[in-house]
Amino acid sequence: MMAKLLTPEVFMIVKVVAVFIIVLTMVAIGTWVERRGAAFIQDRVGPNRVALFGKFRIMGLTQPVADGIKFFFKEDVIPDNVDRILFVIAPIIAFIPATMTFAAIPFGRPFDVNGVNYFLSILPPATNIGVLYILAIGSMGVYGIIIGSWASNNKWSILGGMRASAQVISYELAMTMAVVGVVLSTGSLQLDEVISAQTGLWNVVPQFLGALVFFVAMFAETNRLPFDLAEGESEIIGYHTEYGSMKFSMFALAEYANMITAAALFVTLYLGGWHFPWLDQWIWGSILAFLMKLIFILWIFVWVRWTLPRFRYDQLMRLGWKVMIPLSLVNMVVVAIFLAYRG
Amino acid sequence: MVIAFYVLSFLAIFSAIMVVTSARPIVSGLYLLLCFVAVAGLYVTLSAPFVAAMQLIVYSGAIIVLILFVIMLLNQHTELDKKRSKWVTGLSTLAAIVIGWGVYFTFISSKIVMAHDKMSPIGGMKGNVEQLADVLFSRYFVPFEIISILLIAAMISAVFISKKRL
Repeated sequence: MMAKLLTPEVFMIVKVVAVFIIVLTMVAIGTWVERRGAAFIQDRVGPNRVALFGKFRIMGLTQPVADGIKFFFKEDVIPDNVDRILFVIAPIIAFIPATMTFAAIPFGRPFDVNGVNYFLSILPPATNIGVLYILAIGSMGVYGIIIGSWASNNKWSILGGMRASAQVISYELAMTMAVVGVVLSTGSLQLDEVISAQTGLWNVVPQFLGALVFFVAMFAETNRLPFDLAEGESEIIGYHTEYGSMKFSMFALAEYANMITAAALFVTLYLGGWHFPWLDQWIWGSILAFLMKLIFILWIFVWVRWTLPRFRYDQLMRLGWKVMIPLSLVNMVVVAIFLAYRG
Repeated sequence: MVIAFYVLSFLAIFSAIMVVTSARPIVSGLYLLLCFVAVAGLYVTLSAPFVAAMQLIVYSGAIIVLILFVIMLLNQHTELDKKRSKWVTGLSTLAAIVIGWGVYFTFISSKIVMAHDKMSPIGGMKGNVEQLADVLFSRYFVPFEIISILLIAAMISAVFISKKRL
């Protein structure tokens, strides 16, 4: 029965809806995991009180629902001296690229039914810019922060926004050059070819340096600790100081969605995507393998956040320009030399 | 595709005009961003996704961020009134018209436009990453390298100017 319903159009709609719902659900659960994980690491209890229908507590898993309802019904305050238009569109500008980037990630093994090829990523893999699509759309995300910080007309917000823009530019270079190593060794920009080139040996082994640079840059690009100078959570003097209710929530959602996409890109580029011994013979198995890796990287995000202290701003810049960029260049040159001599 | 073209070109031209006319520098910067994004969209409709991605990464993703960064650093909320002689205004208007006319004339008489009826707007440039690399590293190899050296020279001079003590 399923096979009759399966046409490329139906499959596309199912994919888009499923990916959107699953990513946003993961965002919601991510906020809960973050708080429970923080509590676990710091030997506290964390949010465990919210119960579904007042009865089922499930370790406080319904906390994100309560948070969401709270954000929706909170009074939407727009301060007096802000630039109203920019103030309102800034969270939207932050949110749109965050939800767009995941579209290029292949999250499962492609399969054939009745001679039609079905691929498990929203964008068709043949669009031949795969990685660049994610980097291009992802680089738009910082404008939400910049516009929001400037429109707030608050000096602390502007400081946060300036830190964010300098940080994102610095680490984007290192990140892109780390990706060049993968593109070189694959010989293609398409993410499905990147994955199939990793059959047997994941890129993280031959390109350990590149993976390290990408991994560190990932934290800086998503403004997470140890590089959360844009937000400065413990002091709250970041770009969203003036924001409240659903607008603040959209910034938070964008941050978590960016985290998921960055983690998914890391899995795709360096951890073999949906490859996993034995498991990836089945379609569902490959999706499961991808999700397992993704959740593991997301847990590392939480783990690092509550383990490491924040970098000072000059340390952040020094690390970016004097360590990360040279390392990514070394990785690129080593990969290029290796490829040239192997033929 | 035709509708997309009109919407995107309207956006590009509108935001380009707003860059010049808007009173606040940062809003000008944001309109410039909108202009670049619209131009990237135009590249997509011309089925050149690689060029579109480069436009987004280089111009929208890096250069505008830097421009906005500098504007925020200077913290100029409104543009200052300039005292500029009429000579300079007239001369720059004239120069702009001459350069614009030159670009237009070169474009109109170029081979691309001559052959435009032979090309299909969609799918005419399959695999344009490879094509671009081929052309860049064979036919235009020397100019490409010279541009790289020029860029490095510009970068070193910028560092030299900004560092008072070396």
